[in-house]
Amino acid sequence: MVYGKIVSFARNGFHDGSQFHLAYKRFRSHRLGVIGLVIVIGYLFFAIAGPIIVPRDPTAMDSASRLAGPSMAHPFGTDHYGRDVFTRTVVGARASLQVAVLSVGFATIAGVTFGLVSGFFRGYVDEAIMRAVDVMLAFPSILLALVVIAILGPGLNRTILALGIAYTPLMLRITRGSALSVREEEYVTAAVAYGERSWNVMFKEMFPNLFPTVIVQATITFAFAILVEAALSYLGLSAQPPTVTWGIMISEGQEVLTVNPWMSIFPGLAIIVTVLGLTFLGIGLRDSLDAQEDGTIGGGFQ
Amino acid sequence: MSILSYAAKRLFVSIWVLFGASILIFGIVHLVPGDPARVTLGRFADREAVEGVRQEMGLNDPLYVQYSDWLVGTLTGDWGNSLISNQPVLTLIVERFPKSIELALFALAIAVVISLPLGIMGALNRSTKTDQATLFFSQIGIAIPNFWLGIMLALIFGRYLGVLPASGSVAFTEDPVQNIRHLILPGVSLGILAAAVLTRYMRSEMIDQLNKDYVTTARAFGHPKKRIVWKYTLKNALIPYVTMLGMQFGFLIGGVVVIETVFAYGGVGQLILNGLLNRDYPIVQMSLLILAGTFILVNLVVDIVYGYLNPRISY
Amino acid sequence: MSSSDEPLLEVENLRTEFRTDRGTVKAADGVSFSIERGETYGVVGESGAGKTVTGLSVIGLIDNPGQIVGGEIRYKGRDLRTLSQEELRSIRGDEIAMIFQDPMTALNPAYTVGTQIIDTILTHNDCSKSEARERTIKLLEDVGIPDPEERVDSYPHQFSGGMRQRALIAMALSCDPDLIIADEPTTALDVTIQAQILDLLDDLQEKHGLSIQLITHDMGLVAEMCDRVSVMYAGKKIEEGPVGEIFSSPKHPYTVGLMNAVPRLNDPRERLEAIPGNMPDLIDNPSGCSFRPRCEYATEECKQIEPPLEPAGAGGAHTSACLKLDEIDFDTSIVPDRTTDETPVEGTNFGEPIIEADGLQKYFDPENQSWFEKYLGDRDYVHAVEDVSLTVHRGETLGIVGESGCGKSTLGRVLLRLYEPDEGTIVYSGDDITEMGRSELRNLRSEVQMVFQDPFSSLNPQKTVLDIIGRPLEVHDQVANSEEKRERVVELLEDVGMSERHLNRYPHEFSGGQKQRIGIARALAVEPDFIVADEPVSALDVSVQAKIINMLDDLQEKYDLTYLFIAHDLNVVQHISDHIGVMYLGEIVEFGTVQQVFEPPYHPYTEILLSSIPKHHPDVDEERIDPDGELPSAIHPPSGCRFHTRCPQAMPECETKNPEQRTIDGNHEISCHLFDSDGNPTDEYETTIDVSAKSQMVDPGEPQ
Ligand SMILES: Nc1ncnc2c1ncn2[C@@H]1O[C@H](COP(=O)(O)OP(=O)(O)OP(=O)(O)O)[C@@H](O)[C@H]1O
Ligand code: SF4
Ligand code: SF4
Ligand SMILES: [Mg+2]
Repeated sequence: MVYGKIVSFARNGFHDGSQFHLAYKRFRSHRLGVIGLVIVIGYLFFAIAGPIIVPRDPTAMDSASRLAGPSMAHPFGTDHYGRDVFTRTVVGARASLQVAVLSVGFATIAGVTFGLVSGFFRGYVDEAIMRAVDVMLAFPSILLALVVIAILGPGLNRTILALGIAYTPLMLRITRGSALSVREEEYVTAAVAYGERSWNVMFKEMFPNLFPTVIVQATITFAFAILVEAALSYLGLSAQPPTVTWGIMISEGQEVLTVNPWMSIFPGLAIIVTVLGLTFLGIGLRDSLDAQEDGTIGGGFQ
Repeated sequence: MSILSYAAKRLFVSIWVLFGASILIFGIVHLVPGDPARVTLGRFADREAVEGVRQEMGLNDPLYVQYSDWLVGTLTGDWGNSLISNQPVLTLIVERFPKSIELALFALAIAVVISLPLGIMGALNRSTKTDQATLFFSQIGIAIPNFWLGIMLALIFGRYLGVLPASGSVAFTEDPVQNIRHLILPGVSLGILAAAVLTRYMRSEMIDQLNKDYVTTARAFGHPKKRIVWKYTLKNALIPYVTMLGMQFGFLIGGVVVIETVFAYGGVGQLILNGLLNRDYPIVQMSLLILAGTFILVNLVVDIVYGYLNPRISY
Repeated sequence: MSSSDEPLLEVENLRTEFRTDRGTVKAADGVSFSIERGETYGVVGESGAGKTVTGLSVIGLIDNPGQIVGGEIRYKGRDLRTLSQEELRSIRGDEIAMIFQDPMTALNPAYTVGTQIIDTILTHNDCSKSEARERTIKLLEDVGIPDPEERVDSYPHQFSGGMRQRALIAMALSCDPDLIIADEPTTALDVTIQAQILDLLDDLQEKHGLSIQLITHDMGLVAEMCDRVSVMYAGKKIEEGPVGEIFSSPKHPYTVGLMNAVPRLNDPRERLEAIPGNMPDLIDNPSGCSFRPRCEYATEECKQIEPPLEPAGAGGAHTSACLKLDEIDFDTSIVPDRTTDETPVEGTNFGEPIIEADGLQKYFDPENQSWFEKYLGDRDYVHAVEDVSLTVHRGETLGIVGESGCGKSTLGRVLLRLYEPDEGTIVYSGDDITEMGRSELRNLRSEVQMVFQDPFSSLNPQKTVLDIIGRPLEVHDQVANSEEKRERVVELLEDVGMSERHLNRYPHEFSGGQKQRIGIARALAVEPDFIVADEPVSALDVSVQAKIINMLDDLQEKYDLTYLFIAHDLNVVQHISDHIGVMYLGEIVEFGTVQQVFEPPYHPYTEILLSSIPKHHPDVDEERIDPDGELPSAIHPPSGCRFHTRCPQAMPECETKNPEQRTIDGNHEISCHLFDSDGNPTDEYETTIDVSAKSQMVDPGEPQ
């Protein structure tokens, strides 16, 4: 359409420098994206440095004050053992980060590799990979994670593997989708025509052009991994106490809900803020990188 | 070719996928580290019993024979017994499955009722306050963990306000009103995420369609705006929406595992969870299989509806 | 209120702008014109000149971020700009209808063609649904859609491109409008279909007394269709006049340049005249005359004063916006274009064969065939290339022409083994390419190269020019270090008319023509002998096209290159080629030197292609032969002669028997039953066209 063309020309015009430079400039003026980035940086800071900087030991019990509401001494209140909820919320960020980083990292590396191979070679290779993916996608990702947990048993590390496996077919499908369309671009044929090795074509020619899509999806998947990890640990299938996770805190809080609802409220808010931050960041990245999206942010990633 | 042969083709795909899924689920017991017989019997079974089960499970047969035996058993309703309660798995699942499906459907209905009008409104009022409110809803809806939302709703409406039951379930045949009352809180907690995702989706599809060339054509030929929006673009936007709806239903099925626990709802979801925690493999396997099967079935239906709606599909 | 001698549409000083982050795009900058009743008025110009925006402005379809900021649009005396949305809506479609460029996307995919036309009728007329349906069927019949009673219930995707455009024309006619604005109505279609659509528009205009505003980039279409024409450049009208006058005595340097840039049939010219530079981006128009940076006559004065439109011929109907109107001798600046008896020199003695292909076949899986249909049940194939044999000699250019989807690109890629052939052999300089292993193939890649069609897709957007052109050098170890690479890339850039300062830029910073140059430099990097050029100029504007064609010519001479030149534009192919292969549905139906192919006897398909080319001067009169229908599907190609479904001379045996290849004379080959085994035309053979008439031009000096 005329407007589309004129507007996108105005946006992209004959500007100088690389695409990423342009993306950076656009991101800087993307308010939602910047807010998201700030939240995510805060989250990363607490997750990494949290256990060192918090004033209290998350397992220290204050028997004088149990199940207390927010106060100066305990801004988020205390739990049934008199442990400080604020401290535990900060410390709880770590488990979620651990699970999300490792599982999404796993899914991204595996998904991108297979997706590229599938989209580059097409034909029988693609056929074989996609038939396997079809089967994996017969399970909504949380059920697929449950299958893995059924085999390996509950635990934090196993949740990582379970989510990694569960998200792989989704990352794969998205990568393959864009890879197939990038494969049609003439510069890819050009690279094949001047004798570039397949591996280089995939990773040097195609991957940089898929990168926006991959990074946006990884960000969004990260958010969902946090949500699902929380759900699994709430169900008792992920980390076990005394490890502190937001899910466990909510689950423990549920038992004393009517006495001290704050015990569940704060870790829940922590999850919401983190996930919001990540989705904002994802939207910012998507808009500034002009990435393709699978219809909707996170549509298929629960 | 007709819609029938198209449907037959989709059915073929579904059968393939179901076949793959059954292998995966059959594999669970064999992939668990250790002797499948012991795994099946639980940690505390004595050696003799284990040996007996080895015989019974045919563990000494080649794997494909074991699989086909298992498949035949599954298809003929011989689903084994729970290791814990020793009740037949079939009975347990038949009893609970309808409840879970009812919950998922209820949540889906909520999602549709919210997302359709909201998505369309957002798209039509792009970049206005209305649109921003729509986007805000969908953002928040995605970020709230559904189990936490469930807990909060139960606290507010169940405990503080006391207007709705905060746990349990009642069969529709027993008491329709109570049945619905028990569905509301879990349904909303489960459905909000789907509503949020679908709202975004509907909005972006609608915006996409409004920017299409055929809209320019329609305008150039003087069609009234009403017709352009409610007839021309809406149908085009609904086609992909239906596909997304099918996917969301799958995720709702996954979500019941969590939500049923929050509300002690007593469906298949809770069955799976208890099975997992107690290593009650027959229960876990069959429950997962039935949920995956439902998802596959729903996708089949969606595919067929999609084929029906979308004239471009070549049967 | 409206007297009949007043023009139907009068646009005065129209200014339409788009507000963007980068500034205001002045898409239409003071455009004035008027259209009389029953007239066909052409608007011609290169992409981005503001043609479409002008058309959309007339019917008030400009919305955010665009805005009509000034001017008057009077239709039958009423200023459309003062009308309410509702009043305007009742005029759209009812009195002024618009046909768009891309028939593929202009129809709603979710509703039947009938529904869409019926809705249009019901919007503007008080009639019942069944009456509207009757009328729709009648209209579909009028625009030449077969079986209209059935087709009325078809969905757009069940129509081919040409049929969709017909359906849109039916929609445009549905409410008896007085004016149709047709925006590049045939650009997305093949020449044979284009010819059909133009004929249709011509007939309908006569029948309904329509006025047509024809927006196009193709001077040929203007010559064919229009009464008067205006030439647009950078948002402004720079010349206007009766078509005959504009063609025989253009009075603006840009118009002259535009006409000289187009290659023509039987064009005796060695080189095309190109206009230097590109059209300015509509944001910062240069002061004064906007054509100044590209004008060879520009002086200081042109920088100061914006040239007004002034009468440029007797009678005042011809106007031009050039300050040097009286000083430039336009007559001598027009390339004489009379057909001479000496046809371009055709070297017949080229070197040894460089590529010999024999019995090539390439099948694809149809797009919508699912995986299990492939392995179970009847597997369908797209027969993209079916039994093609050809030889390319060192130093020559072999042109391949044919309609879209006939398998030209596939053939080009199979020859380089970018697609694995399913059958056949390809011998390159004595070695069989199809037998080569991986490393041999990689070595081959430094000797054969490819140039692509789409400048937007042929360069990796993430890489700098240095890396794009330099990478093949690294792959083949032709440079030792980055210093050498840089030097070599600069050399290559200079070869294609660019320079060192472009080294570290990214593709998006270049115009289409420049991108194409970079693509050519990349192909040249490894010093290949054989280059497959797949429609290298078809995405470019004519003025740029000429430059690239000239450059390809120069490079061929300089580096002794052999080209396989794929194109759908016969004019371009004949200009650059030594031999030509005409392709139809996966087969080469005629092969020979340019002269042999362009002179009788023809293969019936070649004849049709030749006759479909729009003429290059309005005064040329000629017959046009239209084929029946459109290119059949390559999944189930017709039996016997694949062309029999469309061939005007088809005989009963054509349906069953595949014609053998006949040698007419020398190496001129035709596959058609109309030729006997000695290569002589049989009694049934007849030819109606004479290509030489195509390009015949009235003496430029002769007054009209
Ligand atoms: N990779 C592919 N997979 C499936 N079908 C293909 C593929 N490439 C081409 N085809 C089909 O093969 C036929 C010939 O295509 P090809 O691109 O060679 O035609 P062409 O003459 O170059 O057309 P155009 O003028 O549009 O470029 C078409 O029917 C096309 O749809
Ligand atoms: S006004 Fe000057 S610059 Fe413009 S076209 Fe005429 S001579 Fe060229
Ligand atoms: S063989 Fe028959 S159908 Fe084919 S081109 Fe010749 S006359 Fe036409
Ligand atoms: Mg092509």
